[in-house]
Amino acid sequence: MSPFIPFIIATSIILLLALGVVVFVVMYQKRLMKHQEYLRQLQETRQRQLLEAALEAQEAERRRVARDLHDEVGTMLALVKLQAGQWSNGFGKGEIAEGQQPVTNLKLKLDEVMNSVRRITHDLMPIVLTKFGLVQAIESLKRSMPVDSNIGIKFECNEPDRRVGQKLELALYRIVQELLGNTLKHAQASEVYIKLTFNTYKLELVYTDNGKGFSSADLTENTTTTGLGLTNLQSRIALLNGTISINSELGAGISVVANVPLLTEF
Amino acid sequence: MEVYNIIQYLSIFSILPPLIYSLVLLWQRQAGRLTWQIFGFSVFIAVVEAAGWISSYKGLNNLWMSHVYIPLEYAILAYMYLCIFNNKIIKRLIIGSVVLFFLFCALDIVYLESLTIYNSYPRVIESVLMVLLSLLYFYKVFKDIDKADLLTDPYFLLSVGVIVNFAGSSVINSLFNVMLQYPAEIMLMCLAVLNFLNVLFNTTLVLVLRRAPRV
Repeated sequence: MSPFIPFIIATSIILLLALGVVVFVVMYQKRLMKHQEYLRQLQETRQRQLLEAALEAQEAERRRVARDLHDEVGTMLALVKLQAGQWSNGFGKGEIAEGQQPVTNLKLKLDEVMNSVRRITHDLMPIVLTKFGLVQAIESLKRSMPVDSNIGIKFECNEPDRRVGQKLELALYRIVQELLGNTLKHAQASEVYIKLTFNTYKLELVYTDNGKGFSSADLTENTTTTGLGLTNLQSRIALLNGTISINSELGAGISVVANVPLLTEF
Repeated sequence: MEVYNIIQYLSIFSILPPLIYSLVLLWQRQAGRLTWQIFGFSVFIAVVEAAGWISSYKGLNNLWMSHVYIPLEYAILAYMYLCIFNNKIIKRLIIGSVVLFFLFCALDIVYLESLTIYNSYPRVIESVLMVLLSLLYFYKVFKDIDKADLLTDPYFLLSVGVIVNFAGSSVINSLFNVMLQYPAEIMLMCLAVLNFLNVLFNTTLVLVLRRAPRV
């Protein structure tokens, strides 16, 4: 046997071993990457489910509180008002001057309380949204803005009668509600512009105001207030597989553009 | 005989593609750190090959070059790996290995194999160290799991080239001086294997350059 053969055999074995190591590394690394991707997806799904559950619980609680307010507090207040009316009607002619005025004041106060309860109930459980859809609900929000806030709201929609999934409508309604609340509380704006555009595959919501705006530093400093609200918006949009861009500068108001796909069934 | 000569010439000139490619990248001002390193390595190898060719043409014993070439080659390749790792202990180990290897090479010249003999011991030690470095890189790949496709990672390709070349040549290098007793044809066969592995390694360098980060 040629002495060259053992060398060739030994070299071939070592080469094969080296190649084996390389193949093993490639395959194992691919498997690890796949596993890691699977874990990431699993975590993402879990986070999504948790967020969804939290939001659903929040909505359920809102519905329950709204129902209690409407059915119990509202009814009791109506009864009290009725009794006050009966009391007022029961006064004799001589007693009118003495007793009528406080009762009338009481009735006025009761009216105010009942209006507040109605407004809170409506904010908690927007009946208009479920019955007439997002466009009408935003119109209703627009009308419910306090007169003394001096904010002019302009709302446009390319398909006012169109309805989309209930979850999508509720999420977008809450987003508009949150943004309007922020404008009212912090922005000192005089004009708000809301635009809802239905396209074939997506729904675009544009919200702008001419308020005092904020810098990104404000957001990081006040994460418990405004920052958290905006995080909520981002979470809601993420749940709808959509995108949101929030732009603002000091003195330049805020501009929010949210895009949500319409193909997914919500 | 013809085949062996062809493989030998292929091996000698196989350093030109990575040298030219790295030069082009340098010319286009796209060269990142790895490209510079491969350029330096290619220039070094090209100079050694040219010197070896000229000296053998003139009939001079050029085995002393091998004694200088091996530690320097290890130093350059180890420096490439030194830049990959962030771990300070590993960096120190790599630097330590270069220093110890230089010392071993010096001892080999003085006590084991003189300058006129083929330096099989340093070559084997170099092979072992280079295989260890490439395995260390594979370990890093496992640990970090930050590369979606390993075949597009230049350092992985470099490690593949290193492990194939140095593991493949280790047996022949270790027994090179023993094999001198055998007929010349057997030596030529062994040299052909070494040359073929060298061609493979230089081809890998071109692939590494293709994937090397640009600036």
